[in-house]
Amino acid sequence: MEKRIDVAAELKAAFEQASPKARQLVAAVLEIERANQHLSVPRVGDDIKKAIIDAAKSVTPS
Amino acid sequence: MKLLSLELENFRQFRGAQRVEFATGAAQNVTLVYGPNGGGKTTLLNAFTWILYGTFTEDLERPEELIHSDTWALAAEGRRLHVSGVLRFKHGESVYEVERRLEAVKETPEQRITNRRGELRVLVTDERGSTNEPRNPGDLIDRILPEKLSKFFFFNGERIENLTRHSAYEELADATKTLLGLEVVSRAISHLPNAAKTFREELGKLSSSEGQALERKVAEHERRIAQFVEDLSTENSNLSALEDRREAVGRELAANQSSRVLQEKRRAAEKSRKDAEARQDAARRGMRELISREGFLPFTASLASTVRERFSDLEERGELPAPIKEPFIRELLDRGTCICGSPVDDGSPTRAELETYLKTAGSPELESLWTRLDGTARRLPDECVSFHANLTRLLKEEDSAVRVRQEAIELESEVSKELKDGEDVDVQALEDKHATLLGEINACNQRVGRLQSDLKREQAQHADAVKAFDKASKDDARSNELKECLRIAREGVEALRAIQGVLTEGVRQQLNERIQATYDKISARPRTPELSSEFELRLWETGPDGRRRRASNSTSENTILALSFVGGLVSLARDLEEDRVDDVALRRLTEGSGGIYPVVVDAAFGSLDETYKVEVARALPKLASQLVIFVSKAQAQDTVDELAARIGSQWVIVSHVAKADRDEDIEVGGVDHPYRRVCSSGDEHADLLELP
Repeated sequence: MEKRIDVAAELKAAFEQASPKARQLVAAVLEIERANQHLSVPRVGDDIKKAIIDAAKSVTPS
Repeated sequence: MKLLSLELENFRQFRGAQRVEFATGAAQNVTLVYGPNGGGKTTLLNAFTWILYGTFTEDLERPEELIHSDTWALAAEGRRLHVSGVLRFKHGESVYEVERRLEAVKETPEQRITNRRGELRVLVTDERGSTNEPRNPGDLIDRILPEKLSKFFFFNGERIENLTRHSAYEELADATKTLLGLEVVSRAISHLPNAAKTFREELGKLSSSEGQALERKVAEHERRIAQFVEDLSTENSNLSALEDRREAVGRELAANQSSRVLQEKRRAAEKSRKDAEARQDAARRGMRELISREGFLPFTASLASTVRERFSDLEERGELPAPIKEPFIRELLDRGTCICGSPVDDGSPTRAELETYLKTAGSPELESLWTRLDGTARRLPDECVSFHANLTRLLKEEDSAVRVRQEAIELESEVSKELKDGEDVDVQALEDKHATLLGEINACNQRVGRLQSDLKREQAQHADAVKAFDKASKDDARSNELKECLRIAREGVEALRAIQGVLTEGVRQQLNERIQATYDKISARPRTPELSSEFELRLWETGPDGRRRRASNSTSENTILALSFVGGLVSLARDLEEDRVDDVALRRLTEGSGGIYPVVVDAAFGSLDETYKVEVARALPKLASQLVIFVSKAQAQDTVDELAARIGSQWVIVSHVAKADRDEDIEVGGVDHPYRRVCSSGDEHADLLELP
């Protein structure tokens, strides 16, 4: 049997390779996609792009 | 999802209203439906996919004849006819009633229904008995059991081995990721770069003409990268399809009496070549690792002797080990008394004398370093010998693999020549086809190699262009804000890719363990199934030399391997649903995914050798929490006894056909039941009969 990877440790490492702001953005984008999955009419194209752009702007205060 | 019942009306062979109720017990979870060949078993399988998704499996003949054919034939032109199906199932605490209905006006004597989707309605009744009708029934069904996964739960046992084909890898990866909720990450990876692109374009607009030109350059590189990725995906699909076709020709050659022996010889040579290639790769990898870890050793011969000489010299001079240690002198000076009892006051001759010893006294740290260095130097010659021995072993291994590979290639070439020169024209034609396909595979492989290299070059140029663009863009507040957004988005994409890699690997490993567990339930053969990191289903065995090698898979072995994948997938989905996956991180990140799924299988034992049938029959009920199996009388022989204890519901499709010579019964539990009935032309149909 192959040796199992430590998912938690590897995920932590993957996440930590990004800066704190990028981590915030990743969390926000995943949340948008997760919510989109449960919508009866999922957001597509420019609609979902706009949501992600807004998320990126919100973690990058001017 | 627990299936409760299926109702059909005028659905292909099934005239009028017909109904099946499924076994839902924990111990008796099998519904067995007997039916003659051509009697409606495949139609019943397709009733599930039609009701849920409006689609059919590839093996359904004449899908345009959806309405019972004699009902259609006897109806007057212009008359409106209908076909419908209702599937009831329990999902979570609610009961779903999924109904699909299609109406068609008879305009021609032949039935040619092209739009076969009809109307879908779903009624959901919750645990308190209140019923509602969702507005998007298709989306709802797709969320409970996505259509692209349906082929893993509603399938023909004779075709399930296709999952072991090259062209199925992508499908397996996709199914696994979808079922286990990894699609969210995939979608984030595809959407976030679009946002980044918008930031870059805005930044470009604010830049100087040089910056704008660089922005266009970055965009052009991205366009080319996307094109290369798409071309690579197409070429890889082509390659998989070509490999499948070549293997199909190989199977035809193996089935032909006059080419069987030679084809077997070629198959063995191919296997030997692939094993040799794997050994060659392993040896080269081993050499790379060895050289990067210990490659310095051959250059240390003089270093070892120099250290030895210097160490001996110091020993001879009495400096190692030093007769007096520096800390000892310092202690005497600090204490203010010599070991002879004389005071060591400032300016006293004794103190001056002791201080001169400080210059020659040895440092314990230095001594320890010298001792360690000497120890290392003493080991170097042995390590160097060991390095040479390991390198020689790996070189020999590579040589041996190269030789075996060459021999295998020569053997394959000889076999090909013999097949071409043989007298059987069918074999010659097959061999020509085989050679053509091999040529196409080689050409395709070359294109893949070229595309990979083009992609790598393009990615490097893209990275340079991105750096240049970032440097050239302006330094005002708005530009800096956009630059920051762009940087964060890029970092986010990288992090998401890394997260996806970890999750995919974690899920694959969990799935692998369950595939192995399912395989062990079915087969007692000492083989190891594996879903590789490329999502290829493989079967391994241990050779006489103790090395792991690919096992040769027959159709039966492939069927069992594919069934093990389905069983593994069902098991992992169930464990995720029931919160039983033992990896906490994986459980948390796949939260809300998984589920309990039934397996509906037509011709479960159709393509299995006799020896495998019983094993599969014994294991099938353990494959899923609910199982619906369609079998013919012949397929049921030897297998039903194995299933007997798990059968909770039994049905017969009674086929009424005009062409049959005589009536035929099926004996179940010592009692005869109608199986095939002769009828007049125009009265052909099938009925579902429940057995006591």
